[in-house]
Formats: sequence, structure tokens, C-alpha cells
Amino acid sequence: MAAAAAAAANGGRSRTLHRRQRAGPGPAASASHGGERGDTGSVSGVGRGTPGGGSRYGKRGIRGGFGTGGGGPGASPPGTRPRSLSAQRKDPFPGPPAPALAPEAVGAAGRSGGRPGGSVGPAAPRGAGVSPLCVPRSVPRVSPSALLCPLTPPFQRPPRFLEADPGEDTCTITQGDIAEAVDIASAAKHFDLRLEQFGPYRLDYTRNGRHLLLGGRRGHVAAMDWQTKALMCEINVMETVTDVAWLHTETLLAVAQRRWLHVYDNQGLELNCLKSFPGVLQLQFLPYHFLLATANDKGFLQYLDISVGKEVAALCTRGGRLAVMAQNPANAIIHLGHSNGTVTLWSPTVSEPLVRMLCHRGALRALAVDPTGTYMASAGLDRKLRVFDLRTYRVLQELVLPQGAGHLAFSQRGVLAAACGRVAPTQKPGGGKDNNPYRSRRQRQEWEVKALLEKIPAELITLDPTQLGCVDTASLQQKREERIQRLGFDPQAKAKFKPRRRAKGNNLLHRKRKVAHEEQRAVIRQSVEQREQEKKKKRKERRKEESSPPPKRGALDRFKK
Amino acid sequence: MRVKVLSRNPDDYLRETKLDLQRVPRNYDPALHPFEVPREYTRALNATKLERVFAKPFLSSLDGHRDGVNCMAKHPKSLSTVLSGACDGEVKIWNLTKRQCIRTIQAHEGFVRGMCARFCGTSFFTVGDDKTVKQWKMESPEYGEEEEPIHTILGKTVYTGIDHHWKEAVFATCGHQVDIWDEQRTSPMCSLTWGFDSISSVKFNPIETYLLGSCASDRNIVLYDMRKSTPLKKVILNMRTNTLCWNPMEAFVFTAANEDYNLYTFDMRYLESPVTVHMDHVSAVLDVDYSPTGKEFVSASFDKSVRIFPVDKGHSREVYHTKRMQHVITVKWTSDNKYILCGSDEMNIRLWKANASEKLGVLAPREKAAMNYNQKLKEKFQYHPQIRRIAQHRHLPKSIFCQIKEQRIMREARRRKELNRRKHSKPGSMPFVSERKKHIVAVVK
Repeated sequence: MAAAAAAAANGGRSRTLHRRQRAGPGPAASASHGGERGDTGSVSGVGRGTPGGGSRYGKRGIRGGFGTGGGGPGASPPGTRPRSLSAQRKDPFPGPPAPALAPEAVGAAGRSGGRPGGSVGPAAPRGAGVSPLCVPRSVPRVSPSALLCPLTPPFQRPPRFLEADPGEDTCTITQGDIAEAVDIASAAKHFDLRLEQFGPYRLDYTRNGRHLLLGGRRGHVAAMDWQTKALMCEINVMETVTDVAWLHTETLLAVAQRRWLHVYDNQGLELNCLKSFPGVLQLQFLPYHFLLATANDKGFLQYLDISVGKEVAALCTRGGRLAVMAQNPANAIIHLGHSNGTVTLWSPTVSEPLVRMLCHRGALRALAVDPTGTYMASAGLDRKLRVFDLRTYRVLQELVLPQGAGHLAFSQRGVLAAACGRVAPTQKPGGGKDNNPYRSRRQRQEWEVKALLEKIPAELITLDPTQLGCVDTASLQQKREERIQRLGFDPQAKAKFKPRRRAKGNNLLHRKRKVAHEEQRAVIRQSVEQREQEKKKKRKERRKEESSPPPKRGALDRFKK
Repeated sequence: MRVKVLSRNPDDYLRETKLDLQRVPRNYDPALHPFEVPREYTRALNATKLERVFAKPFLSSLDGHRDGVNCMAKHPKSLSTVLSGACDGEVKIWNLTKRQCIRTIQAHEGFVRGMCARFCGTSFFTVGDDKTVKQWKMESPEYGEEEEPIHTILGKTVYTGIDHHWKEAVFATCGHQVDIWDEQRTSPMCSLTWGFDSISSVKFNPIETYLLGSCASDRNIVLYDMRKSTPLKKVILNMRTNTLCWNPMEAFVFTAANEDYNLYTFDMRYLESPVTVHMDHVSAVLDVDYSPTGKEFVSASFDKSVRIFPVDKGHSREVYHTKRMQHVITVKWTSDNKYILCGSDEMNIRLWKANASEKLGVLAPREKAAMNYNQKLKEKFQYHPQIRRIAQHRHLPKSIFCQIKEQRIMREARRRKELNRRKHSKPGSMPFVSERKKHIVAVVK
């Protein structure tokens, strides 16, 4: 059981994560950070929280095993085996032995802002027996396998978030270097999570970027405020967890477990077990509609309205196992990736996909849509990364990745991050640009009420969100036709324009001139008519002659006179 | 190595003391605020629904008359005073803020046919079935004094209506003919007549103050010019007009309340066809009064309801009814544009809000801003079917509801007949007559 002494820095608060002791004779690199900052925390998956256990529901029970004060700064000297805090309590579910960290496993993914819903790939090859906490942190983590692709129109200079000095390659920059290069406040936000025991992790941030939710495959679910490192809850749901998602605020979270979908409080209390959502593989929350979209392994896309708690739609996608899902934040359309290389776009009210795009030659591995809803990035088993324009559904860019991308995410600035290989990207988000991360509880409550009042009904989800503001010309025409039929005339028809006669000065002269030429014109008209009549007559005669066939010469004609 | 990191100083986001307001940092980037139109639509839907929730227009009933209320008059200078005349000859003066009657006068024997206040507000005139015109003081009599009219004029015939000039000391009565009186004289300055039938109401134009309009029993509306002492022109309609009212903002526009369940808004320069025909009542329209803004008017009808119409639209925007309110004889819109008073023949005067969901009283600036925003949203989305359906829904008493259905069926039947006739007759032999011109018989100058 890997339990370490709590750092005195947090004053022994009972809600902190484990903190590894920063002892003086520790690794040299870390000493420069000082005792308070640059702390790494490691979340060791202490299994607690069996459904049956009463202690699971007690707040103390969950957090009892972690950082319960105790142990001052001068605790275990390096090299000794870390002792558990409360020697009496032992973790009944220790999980598999923690593997040793391989140097290349943990990658530096650099910066990606906003809300990365990253899935952390399998952290390291499973070693044997060595506690991860003994590995010195200063091992450089080189990872060429996380790519940052800025997506901007070609004529604009892409914004550089990380500019390397000449001679330095951005691939070799480690998290530690970045932490040294930025200002103190941002460096303080850098933290490290060692999540080695409980399988590949799924992450989610709340919309204001303040709270982080982790879900490990082996059942570990943890919610924390990453800025203050305050742990909100940490439980093990004793089942395979395929995806986790925050709901509209940091008070509710949804966990897709092996059998059903569960909704938990941020204190770890189970609120709902939704048995009508079996086998969910992916979760996406549509914030403006209060809809939780779930894709399950039987090919069903289900929408749950969390404000009223009802299932809005269950669409049979007929596309097989739905393991790849993304939402378009601009129009709340769900993109599903299928194993035949197609991406289908769905709205809850339509039972057929709105659009079907053939994107890759093999199965899809990852999908992401940018926040403005103009680009979609897709990665497939054919090792290609393609960027599509969502207005024309055509390919814009294509990249070949030697190791296919397992996960894609767009930042709020239009930077695409692709997780390749076995990467555990330690995100350093800048926080959500919307929704104040410093809001108080009162502000959150008021915001929640307003947001619920403005909840957009699911029927309004369309490919073009501005369609509601356009004139419905089809209905207008139809109504107009009906009215004409009913009334018998068209009330909107304008009378033909009759130009007013302009009374000019010499009207008399004009009239006289007209009259003078009338006789001539009459004569000419007559003669022309006569000529035409003659022509007609001639034509008729000619036709008669032609039409009447020449008399046949019979055998006895020579006897006629 | 240069790294660009988003770095926030918490001091910019958190308030300094507990007594401060919370800060709300806003980022106006449209990419962060998607779904503009659906969110606005949802807000408009909510605003429309809330408007219906808060639509409680009835304020109070002024009780006290012992017979049906026949006519009302507004005090020109005081918003809280209103005068009413009943069918037993009683005239009562009410204080609207206390909702009490402050003075009662037994003015006539028989009906009080008409009353009007003088433009200065110091006195008012009443005419009754006893063929008299009486002028009274607006102030209550002192202690010990008796209720006495300042002036009484005895006439030969029954007077059915009275109206005072808006600027001069002149008033006009109608009965057999239209008489224009000077206040000091006991006989009329001039008598105007055109036709042989009795005249039911007369009204002075508030803007072009020398113009008068009158409604006669032979279905015509006659316009007079006081300076010329002759009638100007008249328009003959299909049915009799009960009363008319001039628009206080447009000098030449007046609205006539007709017996054929409609109201007609005329431009006096062009009487051949009315500007608008307002159709929504199911029984004879008895009275009409304009709002001081000149954009809307209220009409009282024999079908126990009061309707508010916009000047340019053909249908009403609001209908007020109560189980206890019987045939509404007279209606007035107060000069501050907020309230409507209606007198009915069950002896009560009712006070209503002109905007049913308006919040009365002083509004905080935030409230006002929220109300303005909601109003604008409702206007923006008013044509969407769901929102229109909610906004125009009104509860109607069963009698009116059934009458409306019946009249719609009758109108459709007539229209179908005409259509068939037109289809089966020579094209051009049956010209299309617009709805407006259908109700006019002739215009005579």
C-alpha cells in the first residue's frame, strides 16, 4: 500500500491527495522548486467504496485513508519504505502491483488549453514490484509521440505557444522545463498525477476548468479541484469504468460502468443507477441542452435529459460497437465513428443520421471537433490524421502518423492535440475561457437556475443552429396558396402598373401629326393585308395539289379518253 | 524557450470584501456563446409564458350606483377623478386612488344621457331625459351648502349627448339636431342638421378644435365645421353608429363604434372607405375611447366584454370579461395610459389595467431592463407558431366563444357562396369588393 506522509504545506487537510515527501536529499532538480510548489501528487488507487460497505457513504470513510494530517515535514527519510499513515487501516483492495515507470512512457504533451477529455494511454509496461514513488522524478520524459498541430488558415501565422530557442527541438522539452520557464503562478498550477494501478484513465474538466474528474478502467473514480488540489471524492466503483463525465456543474458526475450508467454526487454518493443505459462506452454532455449523450456497445445512441431525468431518444445507429464519439460544440450534433471508416452525424429527433461521411480506409480511432464547429479531425487505423471542413464535408489536411493517434482534442485556440502511443499527457490547461473559474457557490447556484430556464429543447438541435432565425419560405408559400384558394383572389397581388399620362405642352400638335399620318398608315395596312391574303391562297392551292396524290394509272386507263 | 501560458491573477476575479458585489468577468467572443438563436427563442418562449402567468388585469370595482351606469367623463386635470352618470339620474364623482365615491348628486329625473367636463376642470355639464342641460361645480359644496347646478338650460326636446370644446367656452348638444351653445347664453348659437332622424352622440376634435362629428340614427356619420355653421360631409354605413371618438394624436382620424359588431377607423379626408375595419366583437359595439398615445383604443360592447384594439390592426390584442360584468355601456381610457374604466348596466364601474401583465408601481432599474429585454424578445419571435399560439390565447366566456364559432361558420358560408357564384358566372361580371368598402353605402358632401 503506497501511502505517504501528507505534505505539511497543506496543513494536513484531510482532503488532499497523497503527496510525496520532498525531502532535502532528494533529487536535485526538484529541490529548486521549494517545498511548496512543484509538488507532485500521486493518486494511489486505494480501493475503497464497495457498494455494500457502509464506510463508503461516509465522508470520513472515503478520505480517511488519505492525507489525514499526520506526519510532519520531516517524515520518512529517502530510501526507506513509505509507511502508511494510519497503520491500522489497510487497503482491502490493493489492486495489481504498481509497475515500474519506464522513462519513455510518460510524455510531455505540452500545452493544450480548454477542456481536454483526454484518455491517458496505458502508462507503462507492467513492471514488477517496484513502487512508482521511488522512481526519481527528474528522469526526463521524452515523448515525440504527442503532437501539437496548430490548425489555422495557411495565410495566418500560427500562434506559437511554445517557441524553442534555436538549436532546441520542441520534442525534447520536458514538463519540468516548461514549469521553469513560466511565471510563478502558472508554475504553481503544474502538478503530476501518477495513475498506474487502475488502468487507462479517462479525464474530464468542468466547463469553467476548475474541477477535474478522473475515471480509471479498473473502477477508480476521483474528482478534485486541481487548482487548490482539494480532493472532492475518490471512490472505487468495483466495476469496469468506460467513461466519466461531469454534468452541468461540479456537483454531479456520470460514470459509465460496465453494466449501467451511474450518476454520482461530487462527494461520491451514488444518486442514480440508470438501467435503461446498458453497456455505455462513451459519454458526451451537451451543456446548453442539459443532455447526456451515450454511445453503447450495441450500437445505440441514447440521450438523457438530466434536468428532468428522462430519456429523450434512443437511436439505433446500426453501426456496430460505438467506441468513438465526439460532439460539435457549435450545434450540439453528435459525431460517431464506425469501424467501416464512416463518421455519422446525429440529432436526437431524427432516427437516421443527418450526414454520413466516409473518412478513413479502416476503422476510426479518434474524433474531435473544434469549438467553433468548422473543423473535424479524425484519426483511423490507417494511421492517417485527417482534418475535414464541416461545411463542405471535404478533406482539408491529411497527415500520416507512424503511430496512429489514439485520442484527439482541440483547444480553445484551435490547436489540435493528438495522443499517440503510450502517453500519459500531463495537461496544464489554462482554464476555461468561459464560466468564471473563481465563481462562488452563490454565483454557481444562480447560474444554474438561469441555465435551466434557458435550457434549449432537444427538438431544436439541427445542423445549422441559426435556422430558427430564418424565414420559413416553404410554409409561407403554402399559406399564401391556401388563402388564395379560400378567398378566390390573391389579396396581395398588386394591380398592374398603369403609367400616368403626362400632359405636356404641345398636345394638339402631337395629335394633329398622328392624325395626318393615319390615312397613309391605313392605306399601307390594307395593301399589306391584301398581299398576305394572296400569299395564303397560293399556299393553300399548292398544298392541295401536293396533298392530293397523282391519279393512279390503272390497267384499263389506256382505254379511257 | 518562450512559453505562452494563460495566467490569471485571482485578484482580478475575486471581490475584495464580503460587502462588495461579486465580479462577473465576461468574454464576448461569439465562439464561446453558441446557440444564440435557440437560446433567445427559449427566452422569448419563457417571456411569453410568464406574460400570460402575470396577466391579471382586474383591479377593482367601484360600487355605489343604484342603477346602470350610462355615461362617464374624465377629469381633464386630475388623474384620480372620474365622473359617472347613472340611469336613475344620479351623478357620482369617484376618487380612483381610494376607490371611493366622494360626491353624489341627484342631477336629473330620468336617465343621465350624457356628461362632459369643461377643459379647465372647474365644472362639468350633464344632460338628461328631463330635457335640461345643467352645469355643476367640480368642487364639493361647502358645509351647509346644497348641491345646486351653476346653470340650468331648459330645452324643448330630449338631449341625448353633450360634448365640450377643447379650448373655448363652447359646448355642443345633440338630440333632434346638433346645437352649439355658448356657455353664457341660454339659446344655442347655431343648430346644424342634415337629415330627419335623431342624433345619438356628438364629439369635438381635440386637435382641430373647430371640427365636430356626430352619429345619427339613419346610419350616417356627419362631420361639421363650427366656423362655417354648416355640415361638411357625411358617410352612410350599413348599420347605425352608436358613438365615435377622435384620435388624440392624429387630427383627422376617428373611430366609429357600429351596431354591426365592427368598429371603423376613418380618415375624414377620405370617407369612401375606412382605413381599417376592426372585427372581433360578437354583439353591438356601444362605446369607444382612444388611449392618450393614439395607438390603441378600447371598445365596450353589448356582448359583456371590453376589447383593446391597435389602431392599425383588424383584430383585438386583449379582451376583458368577468362573470359579474353584464352589458358594458361606457368605457374610458385614463389619461396616464395605464387604466381602463368601464361602466356596465349592473351598476358597477370596473377598473382594469391597460397592459394586463404590467407591474404597477416603481420598478427597480434591473426590473425595468429585464422587462424591456423580454418585451423585445417577444417582438422578435412573435411570428413563430408556438410563441404566437401562446401569446394570442385568451380565455373567453362560453357565450362569446360559441358566438364566435357560429359567426365564423356563417361568414365562411357566405364567402363560399360568393366564390361559387363568381366561378360560375362570366369572368368580370362579379367584381371583387374589398372588405373595407363593403360596409359603406355612400358618401355625401
